[in-house]
Amino acid sequence: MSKPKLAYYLAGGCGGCDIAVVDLAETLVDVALQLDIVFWAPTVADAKYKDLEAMPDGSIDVGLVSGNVRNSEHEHIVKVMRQKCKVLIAFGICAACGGIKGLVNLHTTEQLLDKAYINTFSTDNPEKVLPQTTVVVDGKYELTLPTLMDARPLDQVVKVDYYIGGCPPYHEHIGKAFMALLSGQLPPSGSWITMGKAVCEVCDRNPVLQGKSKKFATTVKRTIEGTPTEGACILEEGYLCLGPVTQGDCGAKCPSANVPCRGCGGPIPGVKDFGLRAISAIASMLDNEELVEQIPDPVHLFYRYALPSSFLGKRINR
Amino acid sequence: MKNGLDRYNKKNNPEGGKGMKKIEINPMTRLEGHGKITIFLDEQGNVENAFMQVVEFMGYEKFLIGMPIEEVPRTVTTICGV
Amino acid sequence: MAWEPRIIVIACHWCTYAGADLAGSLRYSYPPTVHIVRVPCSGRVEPEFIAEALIRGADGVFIGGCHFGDCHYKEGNYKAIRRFNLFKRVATELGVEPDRIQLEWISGSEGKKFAESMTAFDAKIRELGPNPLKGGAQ
Repeated sequence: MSKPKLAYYLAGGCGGCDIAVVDLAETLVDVALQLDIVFWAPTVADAKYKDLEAMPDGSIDVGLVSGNVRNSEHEHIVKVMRQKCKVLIAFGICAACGGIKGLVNLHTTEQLLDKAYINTFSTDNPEKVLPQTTVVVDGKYELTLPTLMDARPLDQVVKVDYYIGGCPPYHEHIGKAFMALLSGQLPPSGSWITMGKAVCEVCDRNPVLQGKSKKFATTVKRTIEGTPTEGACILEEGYLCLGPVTQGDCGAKCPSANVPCRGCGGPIPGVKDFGLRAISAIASMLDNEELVEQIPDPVHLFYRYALPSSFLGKRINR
Repeated sequence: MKNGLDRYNKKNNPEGGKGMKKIEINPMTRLEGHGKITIFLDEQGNVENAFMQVVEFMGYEKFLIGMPIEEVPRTVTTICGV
Repeated sequence: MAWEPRIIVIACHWCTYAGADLAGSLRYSYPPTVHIVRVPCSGRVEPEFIAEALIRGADGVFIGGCHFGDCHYKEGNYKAIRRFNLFKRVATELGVEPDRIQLEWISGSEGKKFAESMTAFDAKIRELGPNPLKGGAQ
């Protein structure tokens, strides 16, 4: 029987999820022997988009897409991936919910280009040259660039079969997901591949797991204003950890390193808009109303990974 | 460059604007980032000019404004995850 | 047909909903543009309810709960105001008009206040006009 085929496309992401798969190390050897990797662009293999387009429809068993859809080239290739792959997985939080690169939806394309190419103190661009979708050099060489659009998670462009969260997904979790894929033991189509537990449930600092009860946070602190007490819950101490609403497939790695969780694992099952549920959870964990006003920069905090998949998807009054 | 030459075919290659033949190598691989190489050929099939374009734009310079500074290192690692 | 606002009121069963009932008994009228949804406690109200209502075309969302100290479940209304304030802060930054969402404490005996609040909110929404967010951001 032929080996199942795998394709991997990096759209508007950073490549970290690709490297997380490579991070499987010894497990990757076992996994790779059982799979036929036919396309992995642009990060790992020397495959071109034309190779993908030439493959017959539905010929690839599993397709992984990481990164959000940000320009017309991503949109086109993602649709090609959907055509060629039987099962399409939104791999990593950028593909699943929009990711950090989804924060571009807070600004218009003009504002972003203006800041990057014209209005920074270290930029020397007196003629205010900006990238264009078509340019003709020396009167005869025509070059094109894709059109920039608002960032969108994968499921707003094509139908997605499974979602895996994480920035990047923890390599052990990827190993488990691949094993589940190869053995066919997958949840119903359209769901997240996760163990279904929040970060708090797997965190060593959880007071409930130590037999104590949770207390409200009486202050709001930035991470530079102190160090969390050894073994104590970071959220109780005021550091606004998003553990209660984030999927814990990572094993609560950040809290175990004294750093509050920022929600990269994606929302716990049943939550559509991560930012809103995080607002609900954090606000109800605070001791009084004044603390709510003290939270610095709530948009970049609660919507860091999930702005494009939020109820508005972007800022309206840009 | 073997891939590019394999695909070079006078009948099938799209016109490179103003009647020029061009070969597109898309994407550049084994790196993070989307890059494209466009090679323009003259009538004899020799390379007349070649261009490399970076096909993606992120926008971190703008959307980081307003973020508390201690959160920035954790955020900008996603410019390149490799 | 001229535009009529659609206002969603999420009222807590023990106080605001009772207040609405009382407004009816005492014959204090309030605009018919108001649609009341009953919840057991204002602390049940998730920001997701407000967001969903706005996306689906509600022109205004009004949350009613018990006064501090009166909550049937003791702390529900405290959580409600904390969630509401934080949601309003984030939503305003994302471009939602802040006057479209409001939270007020109205007890079961304040039938007149309920009618007055509804009339005032309806007038405010009429001034703001139709909700541009219907169907999600365009």
